[in-house]
Amino acid sequence: MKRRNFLSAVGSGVVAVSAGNLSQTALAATPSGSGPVKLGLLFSQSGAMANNESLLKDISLMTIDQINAKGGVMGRKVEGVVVDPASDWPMYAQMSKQLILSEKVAAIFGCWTSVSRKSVLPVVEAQDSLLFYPLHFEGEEQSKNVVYLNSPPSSSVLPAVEYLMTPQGGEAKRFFMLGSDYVWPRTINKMLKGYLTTKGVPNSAIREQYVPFSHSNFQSIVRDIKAFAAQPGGQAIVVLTVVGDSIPAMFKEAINQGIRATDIPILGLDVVDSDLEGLDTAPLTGHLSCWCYFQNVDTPANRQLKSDWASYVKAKQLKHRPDMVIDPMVSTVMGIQLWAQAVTKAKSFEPAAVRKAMAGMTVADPAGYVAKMDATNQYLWRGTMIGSINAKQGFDILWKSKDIVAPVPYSPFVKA
Amino acid sequence: MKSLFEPLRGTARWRRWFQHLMLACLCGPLLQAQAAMPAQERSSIVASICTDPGSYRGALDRIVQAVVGASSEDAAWGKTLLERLQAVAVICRAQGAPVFKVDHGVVDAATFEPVTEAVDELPMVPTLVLARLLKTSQAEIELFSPDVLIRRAAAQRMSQAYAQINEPLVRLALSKAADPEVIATLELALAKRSLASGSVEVRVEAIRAMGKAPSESTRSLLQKYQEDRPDMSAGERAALTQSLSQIDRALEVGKAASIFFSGLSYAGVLLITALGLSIVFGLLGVINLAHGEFIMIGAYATYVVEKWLQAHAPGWFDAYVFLAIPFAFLVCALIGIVLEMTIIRHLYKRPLETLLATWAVSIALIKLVQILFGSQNVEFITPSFLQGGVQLYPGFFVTWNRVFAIALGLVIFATAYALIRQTRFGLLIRATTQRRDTARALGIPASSIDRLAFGLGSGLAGLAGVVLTQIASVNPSMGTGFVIDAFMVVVLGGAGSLVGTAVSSLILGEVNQLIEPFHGAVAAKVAVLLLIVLIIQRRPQGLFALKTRG
Repeated sequence: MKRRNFLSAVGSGVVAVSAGNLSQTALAATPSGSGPVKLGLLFSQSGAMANNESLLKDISLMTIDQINAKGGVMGRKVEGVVVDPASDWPMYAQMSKQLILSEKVAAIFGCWTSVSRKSVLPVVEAQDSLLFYPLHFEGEEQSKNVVYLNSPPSSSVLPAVEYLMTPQGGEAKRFFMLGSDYVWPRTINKMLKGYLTTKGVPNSAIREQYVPFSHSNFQSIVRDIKAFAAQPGGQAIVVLTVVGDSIPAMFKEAINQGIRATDIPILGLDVVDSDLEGLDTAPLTGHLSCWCYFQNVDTPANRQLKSDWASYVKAKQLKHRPDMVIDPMVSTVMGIQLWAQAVTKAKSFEPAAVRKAMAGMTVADPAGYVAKMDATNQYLWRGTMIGSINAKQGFDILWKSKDIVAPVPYSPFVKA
Repeated sequence: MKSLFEPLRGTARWRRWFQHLMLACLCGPLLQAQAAMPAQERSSIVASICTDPGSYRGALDRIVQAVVGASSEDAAWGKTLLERLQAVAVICRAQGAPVFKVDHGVVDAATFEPVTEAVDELPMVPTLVLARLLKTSQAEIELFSPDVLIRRAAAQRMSQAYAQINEPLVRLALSKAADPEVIATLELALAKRSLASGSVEVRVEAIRAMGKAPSESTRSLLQKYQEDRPDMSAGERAALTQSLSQIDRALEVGKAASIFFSGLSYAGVLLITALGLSIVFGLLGVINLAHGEFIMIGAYATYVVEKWLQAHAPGWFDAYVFLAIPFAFLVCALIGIVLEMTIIRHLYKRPLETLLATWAVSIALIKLVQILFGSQNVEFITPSFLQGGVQLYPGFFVTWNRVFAIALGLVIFATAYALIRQTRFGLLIRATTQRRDTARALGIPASSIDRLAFGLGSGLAGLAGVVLTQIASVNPSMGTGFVIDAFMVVVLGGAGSLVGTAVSSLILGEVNQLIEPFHGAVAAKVAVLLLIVLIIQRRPQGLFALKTRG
């Protein structure tokens, strides 16, 4: 309550100031301003992405509260401006423009899918603002106006696949790639094919299939997978890049047709704990996913984060599960902390100054690493992990990298 | 299949004796009564699994021996160890003996004594390799289960993981087996192994045996055999050709059957989702964009029933799907009637305004459910009788949830059809929709008939929601995907014709599933849309047009 009173008092102050001084354009972004500094939170709360993106919105607000409780950034409170682009890709561009031009936000945190990021990209570039993007994605992009908080495939997918090809990982020799039909799965699979070719995997051992968004009838595809796995040539795995509602639909069909991880492991690249909600995961035990963070990591920072989130969900009576924290949420938190550190170091809210201050900066990662911002390309160096689905709708950590891994924005495996 | 070893009895008697001798030697330790294993030995078995992936095989063999051996203490320990390993509850410590995580803390992995000092390491997560071996070991033990169904499943695993099984143990199980299915499956497992045998006769027998058990895996084994042995004998070649053609024939039939079945099940889903719309849009002429949201509300009504049963009558839990049928119907029908009274009734004959109004309603309903239940997927525990499926024929696997969707779709369709064609209420609906003014002149209360018909359509959408809980994921925005498919079906079938709706969902379902296996799901969707465009161009009124004078 106190915070709300404070904000509304400050808010009316801002209105009064701006009414009196219309010529001052970048009010909130100027270091000399006295009102709260605004951060844009561009996460859908309706439509297909609402499930996942609303988690990121709420944990951003939590992190902002925590920063404010410690006195804010450079003596100014931080205010999260929430907008709802409704899972509609062009809307992300429109709303980011609104955030930058009329709300004068200092930076934007947002987007889940690559399509939405691609839609915001021209806006942040034209306005020279900053977008902090918390998802692992296909790479092949490098903009000075985007901060990539999660891993490109070189430091997440490829190490995971490499592990699965070792004797320990089950000696995968044949690969069924199944994805939703858009840029992320297609690029990942292209890269993976290039990579597998260098590993001596013949083309006949690779199958690639795509389904439309929200596809839910996986009968014939699962049958195909079973037939593919039965063919000679060694152990088959599925590399699953379907997104959204298709993930539980695919898993349900796989369970019903009797696929178990011991026969055909599924490496679900976009599968997070929230996708397992509503599924009986006992028959899914052992299927895999790879991220920079799984909530089973046993570190003091992670225990703190999990308990903070649980009490925040309870206090705000949110509809989320209090006992579930997923990688993109952690990446978002790290992004906000990174921004706050950089602003403090630069003594400025200006994107150019923040960008300069960020290069080479380190930030604590609840996954047990110290993440480091690359000195040149604005990709964050993170650790990587493979999680194995357990019967309690979560992941056990099967394997993790010893240290943070260098991100490679442009993969050598994508042929022009 | 029993014949596999029979010729040996006649031709090479000594071989059989030799087999027995081998069995006695190898399984000797299994049969003898032994004293319980010392704790140190148990500890070392667990520790070797913890540290050395190369020792998995040997360690697991010893655990299986302990379980099927004579000492009941060892058996209990071995079972617990396998169970704890699979439940990710074995903690390998850097210092001290390995421990089990149990409900009330941690216990020593060898003695089950409670461990007092704090254990802060995480349990070992089995690698894929270990998980596979664990599953096989578990099945090896289950070969001796008193339950025949468990023995059959265990035998299946032996056949599937034939390369890693403990052969003497399987031979022992085979010698004790009485169930013909278990015997056949175990003999198949051994046949797969004996493809690598040194004797030509054994190999030929194995090839013949595999021809009689057609499946994708026997086919690829034989194909590999063919590639690996270019210099095989004429006898082998003949047996191989015959077996492969047997398998191919069976699998072709299986594949055709499964394509037809998936088409049928997709058609079932389309039929259920479109049926309500066929009444609302087809008979009443209301373009109801909120149709998908009625489906969604039906699904959430099922969720409410599920949660209520879970809390109040757990014994009846599995029946929630059936209890939800009347509940979802009533909830959706009521909401539909209220919607008709407040909004739709003022907009008849103004399609554009109806379209906008129902669109607004659909957004409002999504938001309402989001506030009440949150935007995440809600959890449905599939009733036990809808889990899994059955292999009807080699390569033809039928899942129960799809069978349920088809069956319920047919029942709902038959009921709705009877209601519209056979009852007085149906007659009144048809009269009102076909010639409204004449019907009113004859004293039919047209506006209440409209209301009830709209309620019926909404209720049917609710039933679709019940079925979809078992197939699709349920969240507030699930309806948007279905409404477009539903309109396609109704438009293609011809507005107002229930039979048209059924036929068009069958066509769309089968065409879609016929194309999908060969050209992918995206192409299937495009092809279906093109097909609809072509048909609508030739027959704008749809396949089964209602002949009216209005």
